[in-house]
Amino acid sequence: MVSAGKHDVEISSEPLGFRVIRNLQVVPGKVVPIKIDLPKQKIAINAVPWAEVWIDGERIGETPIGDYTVLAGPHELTFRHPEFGEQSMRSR
Amino acid sequence: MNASSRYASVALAAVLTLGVAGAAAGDDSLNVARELYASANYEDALAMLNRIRTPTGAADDRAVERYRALCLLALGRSIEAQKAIEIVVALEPSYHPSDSEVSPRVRSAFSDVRRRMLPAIIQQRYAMAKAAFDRKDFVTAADGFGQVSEMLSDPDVGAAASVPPLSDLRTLAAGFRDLAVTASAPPPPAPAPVAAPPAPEPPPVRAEPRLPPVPRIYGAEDGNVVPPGVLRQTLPPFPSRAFSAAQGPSPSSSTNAGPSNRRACSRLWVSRTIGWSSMLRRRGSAAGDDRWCTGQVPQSEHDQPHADTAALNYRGCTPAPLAPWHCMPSAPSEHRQWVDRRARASRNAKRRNNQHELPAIEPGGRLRQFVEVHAVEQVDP
Repeated sequence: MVSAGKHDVEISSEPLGFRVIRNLQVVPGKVVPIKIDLPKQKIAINAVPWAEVWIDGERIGETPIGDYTVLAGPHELTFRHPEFGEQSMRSR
Repeated sequence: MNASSRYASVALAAVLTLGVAGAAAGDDSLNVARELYASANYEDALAMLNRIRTPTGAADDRAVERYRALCLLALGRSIEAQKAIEIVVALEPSYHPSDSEVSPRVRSAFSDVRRRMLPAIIQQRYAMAKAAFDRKDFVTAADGFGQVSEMLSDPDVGAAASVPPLSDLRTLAAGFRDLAVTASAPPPPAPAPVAAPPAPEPPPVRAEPRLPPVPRIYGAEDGNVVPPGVLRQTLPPFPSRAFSAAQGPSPSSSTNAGPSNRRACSRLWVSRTIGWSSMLRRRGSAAGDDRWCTGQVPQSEHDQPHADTAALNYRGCTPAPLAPWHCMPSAPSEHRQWVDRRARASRNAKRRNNQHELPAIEPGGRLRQFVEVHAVEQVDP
């Protein structure tokens, strides 16, 4: 809750190097939406031996993967191989 | 990782590791490119591979092309990746990524290209092996035919290997490979050399006397040669009594013989036979009295056999000149051969010596092969 009137809102993420400032005109008794385009990044993934790759629970393909776009920020990656089993990691 | 471009890389090796992009920047070697690829830094790996590639077909170049294809596949550059795989297949048709090495997606990309290219490559390799075989380079040919047979067994060739022209090449390659292997086998070791005695002095070379060329003798097998024949002949005088009565009844006694005997000796054939002999047949009055008199003919004039009107030597069947039967050496009068009457013309009792009637000889030297002469037709009344 903020008071009605003009406000400057700063949204930032130090790990991502993301920082944005928006000017808001808050009307009394109303909700003012703020649209922020979060940064995206391309991710390249490889595994030796090869593996199927899941990001945040979504299968994105088989290695090598070199041009996959995800939202900036940490993600949960899962590697699965029919013989070597499954291994997960969290990307930065 | 390049944070400014917001490009992240993740690599999973035996243990999960993060990318080490830029760790080996500037090191143009295949190993660095491999590391870049393994760390999912495909752009940098591709750039390095492009720098070090030399399309010579060497082992390193094949590896470079393989990694280029993998990098392009990773980056989603499908068309370029397909071309890179084509280069890999052309350089190394037998290469296909193993199941443990690359993912099914990469294997599928390689298989698509190999399936499309291998039939043409197999035919090309067969032609090369056959050319090596033709120039008697059997080792190369055997290796080439072996590669053809292996490629025909490749699962990516699939059903194409069982239909012409590849099915024919399978048979041909196997056969030529066996031939090439046999031909390229080393010869059996030569026996240990034995100390040979010193060679004798060679005899002095003598000049061979030059002999005159032997003229060819023609025969019946030479179809273009006309056999010789009698052109003209002068007969010797015909004797009045050719045979004595010792071997048969005398001419006078013949007149006293019975009717059957008096009808004897009616025909006389003069015929020619094979070679230079003539044959004279006299038919006697009694049963079983037929006999043959054969002998050499007297010298006479013959025309020479000829081919293209040239005079040639001839061997074999030659028409014999006619001769009085009493002149046959094998039938002299001393051998007591006989006739039961004087020689005379048919139905002409007055005809005597030197009036023996003979048929006219066919002119032109082409006597018939068989001449039958009815010398005397005489039936005693």
